[in-house]
Amino acid sequence: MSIPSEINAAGRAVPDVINGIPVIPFKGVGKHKPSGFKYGPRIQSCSDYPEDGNKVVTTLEEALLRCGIKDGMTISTHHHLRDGDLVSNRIFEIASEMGIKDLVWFPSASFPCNDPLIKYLEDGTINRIEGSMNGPLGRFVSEGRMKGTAILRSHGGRVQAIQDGEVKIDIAVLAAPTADSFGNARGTGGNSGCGVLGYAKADMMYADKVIVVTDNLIEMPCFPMEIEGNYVDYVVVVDKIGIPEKIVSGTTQVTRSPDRLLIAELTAAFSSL
Amino acid sequence: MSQICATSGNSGPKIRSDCKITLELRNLGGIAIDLKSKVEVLYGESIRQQCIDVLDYFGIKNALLTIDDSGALPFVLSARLESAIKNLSESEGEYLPVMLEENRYSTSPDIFRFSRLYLPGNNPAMMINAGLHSADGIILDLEDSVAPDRKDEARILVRNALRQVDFKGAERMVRINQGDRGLKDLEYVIPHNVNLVLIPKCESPLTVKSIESKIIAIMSKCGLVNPVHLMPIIETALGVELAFEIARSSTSVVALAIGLEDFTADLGVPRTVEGDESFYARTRIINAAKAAGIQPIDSVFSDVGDMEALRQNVLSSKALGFVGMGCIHPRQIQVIKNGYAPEQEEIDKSKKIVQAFEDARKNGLGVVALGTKMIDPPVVVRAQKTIELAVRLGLLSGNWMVETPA
Repeated sequence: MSIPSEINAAGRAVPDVINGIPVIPFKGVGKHKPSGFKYGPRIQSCSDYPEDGNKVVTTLEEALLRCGIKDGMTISTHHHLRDGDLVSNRIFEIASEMGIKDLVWFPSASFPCNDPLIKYLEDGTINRIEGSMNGPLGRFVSEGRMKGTAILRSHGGRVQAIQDGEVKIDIAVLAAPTADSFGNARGTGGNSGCGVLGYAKADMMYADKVIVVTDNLIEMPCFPMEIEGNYVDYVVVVDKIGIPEKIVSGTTQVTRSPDRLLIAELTAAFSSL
Repeated sequence: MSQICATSGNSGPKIRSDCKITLELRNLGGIAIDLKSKVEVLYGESIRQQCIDVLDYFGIKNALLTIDDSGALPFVLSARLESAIKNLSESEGEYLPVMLEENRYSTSPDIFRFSRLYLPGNNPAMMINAGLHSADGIILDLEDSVAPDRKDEARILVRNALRQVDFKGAERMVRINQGDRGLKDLEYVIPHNVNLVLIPKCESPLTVKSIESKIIAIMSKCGLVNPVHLMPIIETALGVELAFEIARSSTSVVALAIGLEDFTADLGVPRTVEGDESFYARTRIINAAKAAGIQPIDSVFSDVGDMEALRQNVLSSKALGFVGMGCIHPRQIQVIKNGYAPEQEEIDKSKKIVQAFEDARKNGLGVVALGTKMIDPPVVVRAQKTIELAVRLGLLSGNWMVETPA
């Protein structure tokens, strides 16, 4: 069976249908003009949470149940905790215990700490991963052992896919180093401070349900905030969301170069304005 | 002995913003360029073209040029190539990059010299972003931070840097070598708007005079107008003895500095943090500078890891009378500037004293009093100097007396 293909603007032969899904070959920079409207998530109601604004539930499992987790849903996470992340694996551990199948994991990136997810790919809890896959996870997928089609997007491309409705997130699980009971949260403070939570913004705004997971619950209001509680459905407090020594890992290292330290200082001053 | 192959510049895994050039002159075959560069895709063509232009300028028609590039900017590339060419042929030509318009400024004799950042003259990577760190002055060093066998190529690199690197308004200083090499260094740098020349290991007013004469000759030949200030560095016992003569040897001398590493070596004692061994030298330099009406400048603080020790050092340096010091790392600059600037408490106290002085004057009183304390004239003078410094630093508005309610 021959795969129909055309030559894209980068001079590569690519198909225009992949596993039954039509795709658009690269047309060149600035050539593809999307049309239509931005996607909108489901309307939530403030009557879904207590009058005092306290959205805390006891466990991640309970939060997922209350979000109505079921087969085939798309679950998204951010990667700001890098190789020290303790939350994303837990989601699929719980799902597997519940017997949920064919979930789509939509992380902004994955790390070696996510290798244990291979067993949930094997047992069908996870249908596919739409995000970066390296190391053993990448090998597993490259060997064709994942049920669904792997999709890799750039960081900007992931945000575009979310806001244009190409990927509809059912539940976003956002780990946050500091949060209050209303769901306002930020990336600094506590034991697992990781910096900014930029990769979580699109998930926060466009997911049907948003769960904030923190190990540092503080008094309302969490200010300044990067995650706005208005978008959040549930807050879960756990012992540890991440391993601090491993949060600074991969391509993220503390710099000693004076030029880079100057950039860091200016950035920190700017982002605290 | 005719040499046909020369190298210049640096390459290696830790090298950035530089290149290593190997030039082999030939008798025929035209110019062959073997370029290895991380930026081949974006800049390969312009790098090759620039090399052809430089070789053509020096009349070289047949050669093999090997370049191992680690991101060298054009002014570095042409400096390295020119060095290699000059190793092989006696050319008087100079391949000068364009002089940035923003590099034509002059500095006044008494600008603030709280911090001056030393930049090794043969290390392009450190020069490029030096201006971002807001030192009062940057020193392109041709002397101790350059290996002896690299001093020739450093001259050309520093010359090009003076033209092409934007130091963002910092005072443009060069530390030349001692003796004849230093006089020759001036030919390479003075034509390119150096604001101040540092004279290392200065031991005689005659040294200052000979350097000054050479500078005047070059300025006249090139039609330069911006003043070139001089800062002799005292680094030996003999220099200390002649401090005052050196300080007033020329109207171009604007500051007198001390180099404590070399000085303590000259005395044959270790340099300590407390500095007892150099106390006489330091106070002698301060005294000589003040007597000659110029700025006394302190030595560098070598421990770049200890900011608290640096801060203490700056405060005691200021208390003795120094008005600035050398830096060897950008992270030291802010600590040094904060240290030498007057503190808010000092400014507030000085405001009260000067106000009391003004009030006494207006009321025709001969005696200045603040509360129950009498204020002697020298106290007023000191307070006025602090106010002046604060205003110049922007820590106090020039109209503070009008703005303060009676």
